[in-house]
Amino acid sequence: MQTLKIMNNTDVTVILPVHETNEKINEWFDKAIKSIVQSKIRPGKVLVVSSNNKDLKTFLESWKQPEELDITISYNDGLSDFCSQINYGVSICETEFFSILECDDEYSNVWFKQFNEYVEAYDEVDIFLPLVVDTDENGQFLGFTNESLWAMGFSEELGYLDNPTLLRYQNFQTSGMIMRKDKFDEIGGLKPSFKLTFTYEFLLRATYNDAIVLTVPKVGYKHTNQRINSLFWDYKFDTNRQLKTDEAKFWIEAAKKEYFFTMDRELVFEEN
Amino acid sequence: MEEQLKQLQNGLSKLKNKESKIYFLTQDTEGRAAASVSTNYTYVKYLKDEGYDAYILYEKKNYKGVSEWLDTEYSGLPHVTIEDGELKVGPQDFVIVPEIYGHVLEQIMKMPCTKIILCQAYDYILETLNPGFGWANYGVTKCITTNETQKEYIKTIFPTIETTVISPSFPSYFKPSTKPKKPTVTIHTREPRDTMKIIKAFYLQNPQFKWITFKDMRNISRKDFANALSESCVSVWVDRISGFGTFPLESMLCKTPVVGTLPVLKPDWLSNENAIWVFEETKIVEVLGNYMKSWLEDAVPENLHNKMEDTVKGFSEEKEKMSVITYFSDMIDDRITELETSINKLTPVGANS
Repeated sequence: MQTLKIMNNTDVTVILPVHETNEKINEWFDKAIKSIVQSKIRPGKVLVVSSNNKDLKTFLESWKQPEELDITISYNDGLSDFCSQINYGVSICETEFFSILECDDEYSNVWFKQFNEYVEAYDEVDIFLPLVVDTDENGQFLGFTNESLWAMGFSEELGYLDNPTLLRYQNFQTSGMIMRKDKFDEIGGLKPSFKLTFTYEFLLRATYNDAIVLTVPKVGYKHTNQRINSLFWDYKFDTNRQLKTDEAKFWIEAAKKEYFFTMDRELVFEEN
Repeated sequence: MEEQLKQLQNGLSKLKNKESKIYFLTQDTEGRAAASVSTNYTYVKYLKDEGYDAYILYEKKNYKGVSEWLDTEYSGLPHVTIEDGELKVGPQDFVIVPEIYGHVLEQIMKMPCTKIILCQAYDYILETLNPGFGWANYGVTKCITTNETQKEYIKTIFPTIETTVISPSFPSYFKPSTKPKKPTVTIHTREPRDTMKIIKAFYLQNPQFKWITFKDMRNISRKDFANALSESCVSVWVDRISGFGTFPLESMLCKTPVVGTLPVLKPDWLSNENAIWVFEETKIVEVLGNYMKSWLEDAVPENLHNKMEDTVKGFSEEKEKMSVITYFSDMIDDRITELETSINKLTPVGANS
């Protein structure tokens, strides 16, 4: 039985950050967890990183964990933004690899099986990006993300993401990716000071620091695009948090300037 | 009579000492890879390896050769041209003519040798023959073909020709890649314009797959061809008049599933389960789109791979080599028996006692 368990698990911790609770979010959270349960090969561990707020604690304490998974819930007393939650999760992760699962997203049931095959064939790779299926809230297909690396002539080498390509194209998705923890530590994690382009800055920094990034050409992750009240929905539609074109450009340019530095620093956009 | 006897004895000695020349008339593809030409080179190599005096025979002096797409072990085989007039063919020699060279039969009709047709593509048989004329009219009595289906067809139009099936084999570099497959589509169509039609229609009908790369398999070396096949996740084959279907078998050897149109003459190896076959060419794009979706979701049925594996098991190099050698050695043995009988008849009674 022990052997079977090893064969059916990957050396990956799934980090699932949550920072609020309501009926809808709880429903998505259940779906996200179910997607791991239904995986043909499951990740070794699941780490739910929760903000230390009362409602969330009540929800998670009453939540019935599926027996099939090795789940740890860790309450983060620090900052509760997405980047800080991930950084905290990786800092306590004990496996060679970790993966990020947003609570309103799902893994495909073959993603960890595919990872096992690809990590064996491409052991030099630091970051395995999934082919992401973007859907609307109703699950309608909108398009793929990370797929462009397999278009002939898009990047220097078919399938791989490199720094010059990133300087031309920004739209890559890191949720669902499976990354070596050591490399994450080496390049310095996500930068919470960034609005909008923290993923972009992170990938620029990763490739600048010689991380090898490959898109596994298999559907690995379903991403709910611009869900109402999600961070990116707020950036686009919330009148209080909405980013104007100038500010969006600022964060893109900031990413292109800051990726040389491992440390985060406070950045403020000022309108002219 | 003594002169005749001497000639027969010389012929007998030539046959027994493997000094009979075996010429394979070969098409000049001007540097383009072609399975039919590759077969000629393969046969010559097998025969040379067994000590037979085999040659690639070509028409014009400016024959481009195969060095751009076949290894030197093939391109370095002995070549002879018809054009410089040095070709001398005797009664104990053999000339093997591809089916497409029907027009050459008239020119070689008077050559005092055994003429054999090598028929790989049935569709070309009648193309260069005059109406009412068959191979037998040009002194051909034998034919080699690649599968039973073609043999049956040949029998219907040339019932007197003795046809033998020699199944081809494939070089060992047609093998699966050690890495996972890539989302690229290798495509091979008989007509070049069909390739572009399929690619353009695919992108129009499947805009979500615009990032998927097609690789046209024309004009690349045989090894690059095999490499591209082994890396790709699917191959597309459109060749209605194919006589054998080398491309889909090469693809299966590389564990790359095939989406293809059914050929008019169905080869023996083709089954409903060993590839994704369509009857209507216009359906290729739709079927390919569905296949890509399944592949990206890791949902291609395992059974397809099992059937592919079963299909290619029967095509070994050893088997082909054995068939080629046996075919020619049997033919030479028959000829030896004929000559010995003739010699016996011409030898005065008691001369050997």
